[in-house]
Amino acid sequence: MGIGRELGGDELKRLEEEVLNAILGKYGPVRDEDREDLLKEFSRLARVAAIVIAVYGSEEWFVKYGGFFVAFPDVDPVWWVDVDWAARRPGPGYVCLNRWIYGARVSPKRIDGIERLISGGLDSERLDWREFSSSHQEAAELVQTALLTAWRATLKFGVPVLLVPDEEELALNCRAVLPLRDFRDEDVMRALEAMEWSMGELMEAGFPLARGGEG
Amino acid sequence: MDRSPSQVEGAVLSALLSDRFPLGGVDGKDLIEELERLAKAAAVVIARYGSKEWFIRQGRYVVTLPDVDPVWWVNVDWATGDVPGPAYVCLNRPIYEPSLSPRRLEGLERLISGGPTASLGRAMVGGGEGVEHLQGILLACWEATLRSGVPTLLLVDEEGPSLTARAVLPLHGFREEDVTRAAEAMELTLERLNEMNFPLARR
Repeated sequence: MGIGRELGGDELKRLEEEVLNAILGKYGPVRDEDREDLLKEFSRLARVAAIVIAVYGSEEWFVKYGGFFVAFPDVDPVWWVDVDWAARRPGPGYVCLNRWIYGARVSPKRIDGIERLISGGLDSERLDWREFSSSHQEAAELVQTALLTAWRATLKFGVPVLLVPDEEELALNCRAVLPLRDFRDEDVMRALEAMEWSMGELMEAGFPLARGGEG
Repeated sequence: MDRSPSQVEGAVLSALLSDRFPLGGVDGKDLIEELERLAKAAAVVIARYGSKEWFIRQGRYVVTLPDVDPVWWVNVDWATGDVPGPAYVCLNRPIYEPSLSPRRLEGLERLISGGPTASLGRAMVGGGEGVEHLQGILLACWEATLRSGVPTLLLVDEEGPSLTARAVLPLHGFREEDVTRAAEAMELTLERLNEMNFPLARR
């Protein structure tokens, strides 16, 4: 990745409309009673996706999963933007900038401990971290590095950067979140910078960053 | 609960509005909307803990609950307080402050007074008591985030040097049950810190 293009107002608006049309095309027929809310939600997603596309010059972006997900395979195959809850529990919607940092299928090396941690249901059962870190030292250190990086990114850029496990894919997702309403273009840029900075820090720390495959 | 959140909400909004009066123009309309959202969240928290002594800290968008926890407050702020961005309703509690914590953690103070975005990554490599504490706090916030679904952040005041836990909800689009989950996230964070014998700030 690398922020290499200036944002142009007209180009951005055109891209935003293009993304919104692609999203609506993928979503299919919209019921009248849902139209207003969905359009609001999708237009916010389209705005963020358009900024990402413009910044990185993506030519191959596409929409999937019923319109709630925009991928940029030519920028980074494990990068995507979506609308989701913050961390897998029902709640307010966020526009999320996502990148897997670990994935059983897409990381250069498998870390058994990280996969055990993810598949063990991090959010449902009590984790004995002392026990875990003594039996899976490498995994514990990597997870601590990722947590520290996400924390520092949050403070540096003012955008919440979260780590969210994906039990089905045995993946760990790094995600910068923006509330659906009220964000400005510069907030999206800060979220992008937070993601870039986090990836740089993780690479520098020797984290086995996921690459390739599908996010 | 003595009163329901909806019963408390009107009282909180009146108190907030009278504290901010007079309001005028477009800014006034935005401000009222913001205060309504703050009142909604604060009312859930007040009702949950049965606070009878809640008050608005004068001249600020802050609702405090001294009879529940003297260092607990609810406010509207940017996510991390110092970088402009979208507004959030925040549930806050200082967790470490040299003057309010029952014992000083010099290792932790050294770590955070250098600034979390500067050389902290390298400082962490050395290990030590401060590092262990910080790791424990970050783990507690992470667990709270995942279990509640509400982003639970750790804020730093380098000059204090102090640390504050903060659960954030976007200003628009949250429901009563989201505020309850945010309160649970804060409770879980504090519970984990107590379990690790962390010297929690208190008055």
